[in-house]
Amino acid sequence: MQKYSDRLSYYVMILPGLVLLIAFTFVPLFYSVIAFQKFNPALGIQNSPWVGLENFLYIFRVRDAQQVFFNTVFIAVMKIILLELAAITFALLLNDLRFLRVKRAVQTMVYLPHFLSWVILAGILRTILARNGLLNDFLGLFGIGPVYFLGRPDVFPWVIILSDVWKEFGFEAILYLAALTAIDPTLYEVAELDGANRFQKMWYISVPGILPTIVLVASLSLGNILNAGFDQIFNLYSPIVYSTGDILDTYVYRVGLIQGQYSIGTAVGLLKTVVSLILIGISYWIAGKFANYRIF
Amino acid sequence: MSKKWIIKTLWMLVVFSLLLTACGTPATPTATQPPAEPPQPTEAQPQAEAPTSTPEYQWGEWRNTDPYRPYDERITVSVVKGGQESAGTLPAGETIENNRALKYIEDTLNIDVVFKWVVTSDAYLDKLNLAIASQDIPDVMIVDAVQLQQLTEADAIEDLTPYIEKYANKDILENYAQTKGVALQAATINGKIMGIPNVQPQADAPIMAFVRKDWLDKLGLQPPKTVEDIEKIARAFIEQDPDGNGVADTYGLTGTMNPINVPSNLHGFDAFFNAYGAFPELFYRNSEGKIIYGSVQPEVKEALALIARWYKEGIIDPEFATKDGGKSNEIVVSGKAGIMMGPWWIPWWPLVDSVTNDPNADWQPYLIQDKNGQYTFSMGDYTYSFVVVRKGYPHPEVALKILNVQNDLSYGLNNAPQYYPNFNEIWGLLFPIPFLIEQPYVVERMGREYKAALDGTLDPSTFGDAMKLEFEQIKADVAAPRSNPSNWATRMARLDAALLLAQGYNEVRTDPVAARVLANDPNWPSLKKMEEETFLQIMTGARPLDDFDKFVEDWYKSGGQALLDKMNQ
Repeated sequence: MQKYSDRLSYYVMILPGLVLLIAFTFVPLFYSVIAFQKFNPALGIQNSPWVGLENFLYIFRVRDAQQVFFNTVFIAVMKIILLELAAITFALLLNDLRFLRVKRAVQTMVYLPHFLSWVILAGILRTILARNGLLNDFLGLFGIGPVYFLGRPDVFPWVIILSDVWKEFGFEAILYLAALTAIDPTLYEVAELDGANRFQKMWYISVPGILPTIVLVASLSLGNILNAGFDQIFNLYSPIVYSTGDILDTYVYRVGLIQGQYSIGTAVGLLKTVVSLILIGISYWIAGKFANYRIF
Repeated sequence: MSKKWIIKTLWMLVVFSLLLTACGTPATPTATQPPAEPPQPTEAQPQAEAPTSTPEYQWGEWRNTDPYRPYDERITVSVVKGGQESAGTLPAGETIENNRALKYIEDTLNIDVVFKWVVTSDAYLDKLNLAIASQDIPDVMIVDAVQLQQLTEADAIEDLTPYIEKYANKDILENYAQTKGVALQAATINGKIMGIPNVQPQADAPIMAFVRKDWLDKLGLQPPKTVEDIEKIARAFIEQDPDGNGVADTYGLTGTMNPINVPSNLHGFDAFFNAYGAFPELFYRNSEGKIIYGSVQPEVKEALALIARWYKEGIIDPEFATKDGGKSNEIVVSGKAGIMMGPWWIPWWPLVDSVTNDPNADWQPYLIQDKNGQYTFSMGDYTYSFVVVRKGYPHPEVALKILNVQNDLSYGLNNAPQYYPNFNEIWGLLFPIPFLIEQPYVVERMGREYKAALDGTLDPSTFGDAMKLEFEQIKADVAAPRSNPSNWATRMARLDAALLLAQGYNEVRTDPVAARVLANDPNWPSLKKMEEETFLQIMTGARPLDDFDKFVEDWYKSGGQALLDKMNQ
């Protein structure tokens, strides 16, 4: 009985998330059928004419879709790689800090941006990245720029990638810090006796120690390869950077909701869901094989 | 605190955040929406006065004609509304849902207007699309051409053919007639008039330059006539510190992320393209009578070269391509710019705020001529939106009746009360259906009449009430310029800018046949996107000018040629 009530509290904690998940992810999934219709909102799902795969064929024909697909994968992959690198490096460095107080203060500061929404951060970024903003003033000291960060198609994706890394790496590092605390301290003591310096300890003990976590996180993030971050890009982009900054989610939003081509928008969204599902399957298989991670 | 506990907590945190991420993944726009409450008829209004006996209003015989006859029993009509964020600009004590103009409409027709929802302008389109998708539309609403088609196919709106002639007042019918039938044609699907079309005053389209005369005088410059003059003035405004604060903080030309947008483009570059004989975004007939697309003509390349050079030399706001209209308005209002491109009515918004902040800001309008000294401008369609009535609503004619009374309020006809001195700045908030059916050339006509009245060749007592009020404002500003920003705005828009237009200009406009094809073409949004980003990138130097040729080639290949073929069938 004790055991059961113990578990009950966990179920209750899951409940709100589960309700949201069902309401906003599972229920809309059924409406995906409009991807196979020439959907007329005023007619509704029952009465709109069916067109088979026509919408999907259209997506493969227009040049927008290919560009948007490439942008999404590029931005998402870069985000994943750089974010993990930054988080691992940061965790390793922080782990070596002797002063507990400084360690805690730094850790709190760097994961603070994680809790701010992109609507707010985008406003701040726009000011920082403006022509007479903080960053351009700083670059000006070295005779660079001013750079039109949000208006140059070649620079824009990197603004997106790096600002996201900046926002998230502190939070991501928590995982690795937790993994680092699990390493047996006697290993370090032995290494010290053998005369290993700090970097050798880091390289031969810490890194192998968290390797399973790295593999796990990397393989699980495969499922996110088509999620390049709608909130962030939507709040920062404009027509001039469509060629490199428009991603699947922003495209679906514009085509589906602004231009009213619901079926096309849904077809793109459905395609994304299917590809993501396959990727998640692969990532689960890899995680199980190399990091011994299993849900079921 | 045991280590195990920490790890457990951390994992819970991670799992929780993953769960949140999963929730945040937008899959498809959800079509579920809580059903809105059906409009409740508010019965037994305390001041439901008996018709014709109210001392407050001056109703006449006209009220017993079809276009105005009050309903025997008070009926309810539901509408929807954007613009909530501006509600603070209404007079004290008045709201979007409750104001004197709205009450006059309700009392005149014996109806209750119920607002199904009121949202901000940003959210309006999304909300309307959702309302249509969830088949929960108001009794009367404003839609665009695509929505008109969809709603008609779905049999969700009333056929208004039997009502237009009978219930529209003679002013509205006359305005439709002046478009030579184009307006009603645009609303006709399969021979039935499915919506009440708007009529845009044609003067909304020509983009003119408003320039601060006080700055020109200070720097000893002549007012602009040509594109070259604009360049010279903009350069001087940047370099010669026209506001005299000793800091190089003034802009030459402002712009937005939509540099070309017909009509009514605030901060738009359209007029510069027109001066080069280029008419981007329009499908017009060439000398052989064939429909061609303006954005792919060689003249566009010349104009793009000009803008790109200006951008490179710093004449245009270096960040225009990521700014929206509101952001660029701020530059003007804060006194940091001396040139603003826009239609004749921008003195009412946003220039009036600039004058409020700095009474010395002497904005004057100027038209830009082309190389041959002619004035030719891109014109918008007469009609681009429609009022529709929900299928099954028992009184479809009420939409027309409301529009009649709104028209009276706008122009002071039929003794409609004139409550608001700043009416032109807030009409969109006051009216239940913020929709204009105007005379296509009303702006020019009114400008001429005001001028004649000022010169003493026309008796101002012949004006309707709305024009009388405006004429008082104009006179007050002529006597003491810029002493009252509202008076100044009315004078500058209605008199100075309108008279410029009244001098005459040539028009280039999208062919009605082309407009029909466009509204239903799946490739058009994609072509438009390609054009927008290419032009912006060429303007800002992110791509070389010669990429224009590649754009033209791509445009024809990716559906443009097919589009033109369909139009020229």
